[in-house]
Amino acid sequence: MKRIFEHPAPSERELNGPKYWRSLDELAATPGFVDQLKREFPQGAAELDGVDRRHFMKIMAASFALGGVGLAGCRRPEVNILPFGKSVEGIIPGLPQYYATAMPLRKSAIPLLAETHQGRPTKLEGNPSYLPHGSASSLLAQASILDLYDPDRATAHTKGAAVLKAAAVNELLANVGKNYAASQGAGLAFLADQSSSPTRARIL
Amino acid sequence: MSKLFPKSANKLPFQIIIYLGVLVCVATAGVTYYMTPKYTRVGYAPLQPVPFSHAKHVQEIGLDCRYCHSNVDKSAHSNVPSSQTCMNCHNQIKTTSPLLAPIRESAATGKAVPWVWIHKTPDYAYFNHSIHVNRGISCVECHGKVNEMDTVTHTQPLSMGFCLECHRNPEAALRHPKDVFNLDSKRLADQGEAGVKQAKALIDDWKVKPPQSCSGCHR
Repeated sequence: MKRIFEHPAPSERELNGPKYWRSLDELAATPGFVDQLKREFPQGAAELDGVDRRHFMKIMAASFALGGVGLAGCRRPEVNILPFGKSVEGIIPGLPQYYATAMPLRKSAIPLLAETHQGRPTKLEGNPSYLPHGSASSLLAQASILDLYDPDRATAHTKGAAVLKAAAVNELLANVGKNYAASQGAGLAFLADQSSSPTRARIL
Repeated sequence: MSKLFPKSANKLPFQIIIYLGVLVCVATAGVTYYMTPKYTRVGYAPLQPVPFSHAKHVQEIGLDCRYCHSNVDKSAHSNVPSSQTCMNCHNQIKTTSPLLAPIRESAATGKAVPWVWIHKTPDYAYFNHSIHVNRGISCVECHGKVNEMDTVTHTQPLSMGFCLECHRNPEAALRHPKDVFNLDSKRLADQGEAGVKQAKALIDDWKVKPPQSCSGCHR
């Protein structure tokens, strides 16, 4: 049996009495607030743009049906082997390569061995040939491998907001050298973090 | 006494027969699909970007496997040669052959030739080429007589049963180290009494203990 609830009609006071507001936006009836009031969900949440639910179900049903025809996914797909076009010296596919490197600290550096697989570094360990450290590394050095995969790291040269190509950077730096050669570098400053790198000390 | 079974139970024998029929159909379909050689890829011989003939290169020219697959005895992964390896000879021979155009282009630009992968172990199974080859398991055991193939064809099932068959009884498949890359050679076990003795000796000397535990291959 269907139940019918008799809701009382709004009273006189409710219709004509004072109106309360719960936020300043509601009081001012800003367009954003009015828009939000009309929507069930906030913009973009749990909604498909341009596809209504019925259409979505239709498409998914069709794709499942097509996917099922002939058990298309059961056979192994064709996979390619992509060897080097030009051989790379020293690389044996499947074996890691080790490079000696160092992690610069403020006043020193930790000698490290970097394990790389097909050019991608995967592990840092202390360099055993440096006896004072005895192949030890620090926890910062161990974790610094992740810096190489940091999506926020600089991946390109920029000037202002524009990305520069390597050739443009070289040209720029060459011009810096030319322009300040006469004045012996007066008025030129490099901004860089502190480093104990002897290479950098030699260049500057 | 009240009835033990409701009236709908009258249909039950009929339903059981139908369900059994469906079950048999599914089982038959499954067996024909998953237990045929096609599922294990036996007979798979895809078209390669360059119709490279192993038969010609090995039997006519006499190349060793390791001239091209140079790291098979060093690495878990047996490498497919770079285009430069091909060009070592083909910058002198058949330099204008249209069939070799992809190789020449690849060697010039450094882009890879998309060879089609034929013998593929699944990602969940660890396989190390070097340990097999260095312990007297010849290429021919898994890859078949590639030296006689114009088009490389998948000849062995390479299923888990195939691996275990040999891992349980390695002396039957061993070859003398000098014969590993000679695909026409005989297994030690097929070389009479002396061969069998030698195979046993090799197993002892080299401590050939192929793993049979799950984690040996599914690491």
